[in-house]
Amino acid sequence: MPRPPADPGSVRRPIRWGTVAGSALASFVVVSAAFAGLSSLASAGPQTIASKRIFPGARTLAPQDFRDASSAIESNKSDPYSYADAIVATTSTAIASGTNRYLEVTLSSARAGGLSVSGAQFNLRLASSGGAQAGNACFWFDVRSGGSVIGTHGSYASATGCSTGTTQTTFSTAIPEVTSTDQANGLVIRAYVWETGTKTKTVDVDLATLSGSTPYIAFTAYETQSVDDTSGAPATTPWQLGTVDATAYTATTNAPSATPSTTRYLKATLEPSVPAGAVVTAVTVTNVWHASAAVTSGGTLCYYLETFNGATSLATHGSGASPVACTASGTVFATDTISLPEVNDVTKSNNLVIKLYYWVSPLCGGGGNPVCVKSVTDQLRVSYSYYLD
Amino acid sequence: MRLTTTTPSVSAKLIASIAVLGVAAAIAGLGTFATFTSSTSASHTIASGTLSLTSGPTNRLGTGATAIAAGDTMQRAIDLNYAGSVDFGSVTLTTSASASSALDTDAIDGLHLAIDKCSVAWTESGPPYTYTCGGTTSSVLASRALIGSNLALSNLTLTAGTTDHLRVTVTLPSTAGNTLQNLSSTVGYTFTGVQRAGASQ
Repeated sequence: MPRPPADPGSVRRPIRWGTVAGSALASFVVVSAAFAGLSSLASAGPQTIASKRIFPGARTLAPQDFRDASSAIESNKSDPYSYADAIVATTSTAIASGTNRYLEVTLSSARAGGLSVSGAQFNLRLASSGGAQAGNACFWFDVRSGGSVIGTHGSYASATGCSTGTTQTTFSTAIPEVTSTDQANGLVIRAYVWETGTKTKTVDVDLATLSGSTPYIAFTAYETQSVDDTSGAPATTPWQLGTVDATAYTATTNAPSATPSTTRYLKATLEPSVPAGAVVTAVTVTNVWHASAAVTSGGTLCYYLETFNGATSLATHGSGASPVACTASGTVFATDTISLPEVNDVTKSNNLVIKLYYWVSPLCGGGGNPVCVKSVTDQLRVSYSYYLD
Repeated sequence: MRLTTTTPSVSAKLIASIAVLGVAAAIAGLGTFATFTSSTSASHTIASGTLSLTSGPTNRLGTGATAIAAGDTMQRAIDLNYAGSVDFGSVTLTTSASASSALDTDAIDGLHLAIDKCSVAWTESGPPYTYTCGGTTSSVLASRALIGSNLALSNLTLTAGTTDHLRVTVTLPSTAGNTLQNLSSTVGYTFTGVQRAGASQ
């Protein structure tokens, strides 16, 4: 059976495409030939490079738990906002709902930067100061990082929490907006507190902290500075041991005369801050201090210190015969930085306790002797240098 | 009886005449060009050369590093051999990350690469590996971001049959911040050599 004649167009089309393809191939061959030459490859690797989980660095913090045994009887002089205890901070002014006045805390920067944070929460423990026609203490708060509000929790219409009467109650509120140590370090929380009584009262705040976890350690961050704006005029109060500033701690009792006593001391307990598994490379303590008054008649106020792993003594730095430092000044702060090589691992770092033993040398008091003085501490900070592989 | 004779035509006569003249001319021509002749033959073999870039015996580039920190450096030696019979014109380096992180993508604060050459084999110590040169050192690649394509290498020997002793130094700059913590990258190195330019042979 004869085939039907081919459509002339369908015959020419493949020919044209063949021409184009052939031309392209020819061009490729020509160009390849122009660049052709011998070449050879040598491959090496692969090479895997991993960075430390936490880079080396120094992280500094002040003790929040501070005890004064200058009288030989230990008294608790800890930061009022740091622990649920009998030490509270009372707002400067009675404060009612809707005033937009606040109590603000800035939290410490003791954690290594660049780590993720989970389970962040703000812990506030408060109660009405009480009195006639007193009511309850309520609050809402916002969270600030880098100068910006990153979260708001509650309102005057919907309090985050209210304690009943003068019974201190702790409210822990999740703040999921805090996701990194870069935010947690130096975080600012502004709590709008108020008292519901018929006759408005002040509010006692027992604790204001941030808690959470990094991949390597659970932490509690304590305040380094508070601002009381309940009067409408913000008053800033730094934690007295935290920074070199106008706020200092004066011991309750004069230092002993002539020789130190192991029962008369200032004691600082540091919060756990070094992650498990970290390599601790250096720990130092910086003490900024002077005498409460000029020490007369050639006398000086001196000290040495002792470190502890919890209750176990690690080392002494200086002694009654060889003080770390002495000063006769009642106004000029001396700054001493003492290396603590005995604090060389995570356990010792996280259980570190430091006792400072002051005394006036030589004998103080009495005719012709130097006056007896107290120690004044402007800053007591510990710096931990560590990394985590 | 009638006698019949046949007479040739005019055209046949013309063709015959031309043929006779042609043969005569050919004979005359042969006589004109004849001379003595002799011949000889020559041949040569042309063989192409070979170009081969190899590494070793020293090659530490497969050795990685763990837990590096800002300011850390890692040194690894590698021998580049110019095997084959043809000199090299140049060698380039291409680095690539099969597992990537900011360690290799951050061109500023991420890993940096530099290569030096020693005129004799590097003396190795470690691990961690460090190297000293008992001869003369020269820079092959100035410090730059780790990942790069066709990076020109300088001061190489490139002569067939020789070896260059290289030291690769990878550094995490001291400016590396916390965003570069807890990361990992896997890097491969490919050295590509091309032949010298064509020349009279």
